[in-house]
Amino acid sequence: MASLITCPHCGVRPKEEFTIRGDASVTRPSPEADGEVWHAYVHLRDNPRGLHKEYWHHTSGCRRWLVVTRDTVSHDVIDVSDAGALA
Amino acid sequence: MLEVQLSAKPALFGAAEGLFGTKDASTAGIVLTASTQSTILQVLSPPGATGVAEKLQAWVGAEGAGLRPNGPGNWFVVCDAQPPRESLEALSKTLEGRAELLDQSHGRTRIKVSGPKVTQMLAKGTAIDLREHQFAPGQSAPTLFGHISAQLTRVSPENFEILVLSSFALSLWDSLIVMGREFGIQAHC
Repeated sequence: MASLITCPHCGVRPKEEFTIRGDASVTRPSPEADGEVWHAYVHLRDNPRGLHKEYWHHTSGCRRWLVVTRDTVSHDVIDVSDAGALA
Repeated sequence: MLEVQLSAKPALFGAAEGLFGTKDASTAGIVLTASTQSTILQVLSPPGATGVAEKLQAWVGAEGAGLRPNGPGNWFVVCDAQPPRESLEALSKTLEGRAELLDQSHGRTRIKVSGPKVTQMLAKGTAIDLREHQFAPGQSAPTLFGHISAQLTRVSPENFEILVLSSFALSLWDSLIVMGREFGIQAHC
């Protein structure tokens, strides 16, 4: 697990200050979408080896949602950005 | 039925005071105090609002207050004494439509930690790099202190201030005393 995250607002902080929500690559389907589509969105996740994009919440810092791109093999953190830019 | 009598009391009511880890105040490496009479304002501004930080900076400069950035569009303003009502109204007017002011004087407590060993002691609680070139006097950051979220500010090289939710103040106070014991700590609130 990556242990140091460079928050774009607060600087380098330990992972203990954050709450991880999970995969940031899935997109919410439309309310009318098929049950199967919703099932996949809510329950089905890949467990990638290598690059992974996740939502992290800086709970004990600026309380912003961030998108963290990290490598699940080497534990390198490749990129951290504010999730507001995605919305 | 049990009758519960609610009564107002200061956040640090009954807090431990005195010398810990030393018998002589002159050898204490840490001094712990609290500023309970402060006025604390929270400033919240919506995304896209501009010029708020500059306006706040100007106001705290004129009032001799302190500005503590708490995240994007989020600040704390701390004043040692109650600022004049007209001055607060003027601030609220300048920020109209761009930010909201909320009085948090009752909700947060300012704990002051100082002394030659202060960075060594604080490093036990927070992961912020406290070396002076990384966290310079005047800098302020929200962080996790032990298990408590708090706003840490370096006032001068050996003077720090921790702004914490009042309901956590007593717990934090006790932890700080335990952390400071090895350096000798003098606590009074």
